[in-house]
Amino acid sequence: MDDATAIRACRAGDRQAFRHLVEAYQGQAIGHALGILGNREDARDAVQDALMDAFQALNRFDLSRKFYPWFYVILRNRCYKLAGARTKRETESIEDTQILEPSTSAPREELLLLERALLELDAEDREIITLKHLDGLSYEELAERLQIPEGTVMSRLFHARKRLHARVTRTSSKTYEGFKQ
Amino acid sequence: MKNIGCETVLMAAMAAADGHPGKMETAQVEAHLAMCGDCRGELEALGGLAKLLDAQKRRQSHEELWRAIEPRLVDQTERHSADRSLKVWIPVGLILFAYKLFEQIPDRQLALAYKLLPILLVTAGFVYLRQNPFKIKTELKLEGE
Repeated sequence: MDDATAIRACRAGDRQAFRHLVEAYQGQAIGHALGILGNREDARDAVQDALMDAFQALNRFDLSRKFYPWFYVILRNRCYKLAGARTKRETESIEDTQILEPSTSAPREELLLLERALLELDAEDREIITLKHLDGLSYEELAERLQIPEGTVMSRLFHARKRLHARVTRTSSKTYEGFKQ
Repeated sequence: MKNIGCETVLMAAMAAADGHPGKMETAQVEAHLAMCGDCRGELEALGGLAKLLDAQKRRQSHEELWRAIEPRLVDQTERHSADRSLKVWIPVGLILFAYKLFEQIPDRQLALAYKLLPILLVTAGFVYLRQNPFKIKTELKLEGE
């Protein structure tokens, strides 16, 4: 079943058809929500709420467009709502906050440092950086996802990178020397 | 060397490295970089960070959400359907009540179409809600299920 068929079936009242959309995008959505919220449990809650919102709003979805970018706008609204409401969790394990896939190409210390610096950023900075570098979105795609003009994407991304760079160097200037090479 | 244009130049240079045409000409950016050591250093550092980030992948999630979503969907659909029913049947009830009062006025010769009005109204309500008033719920639920 493709997305459009599933959406048509949902509109006709078939709840089971929504399962196709949930299963197709849940992993990606949790990854993105984690990129904004920096906490897996919150990310899971935000994705569930966003999916409920999306189900209710399916009648307004334009079938000529792709489902996920449309859903992403709903998801990020949910994430920022949750981010505004929650207080920082006291006990967070690495498992709960890990945004990056453990890689064999970079030393573990570098990744931990990068991961920590990413988590210290504001949600908006973390979001634009992860969408650009981990998902490889173009400026045009970023503008669509974040609903801002391309010029704003350029400036937000630049400042987010600068802040990330400042945090990385502040945490460990010694380790960061390795990044340049 | 640091001047007002440094940030604009760096932004344009980073955008160019990302494959996006910035607001400045390449020659202008290059000319500034050739003169400005601060910008060259910053660009190199930011470029290194971007390269490191590009080499990373987003951590995959294999969580299963359908089991948590499905009961919420059932609740939401039932609630939505109940709200919709109320929105239809409350006005219909009021109209029928007014109709009954009107009917009480003595010495009135009501046409057949008028007499059919209550039936038509109720039928329209069921059609709009896509409900079958003759449907009997035959699902059996065992205790403890």
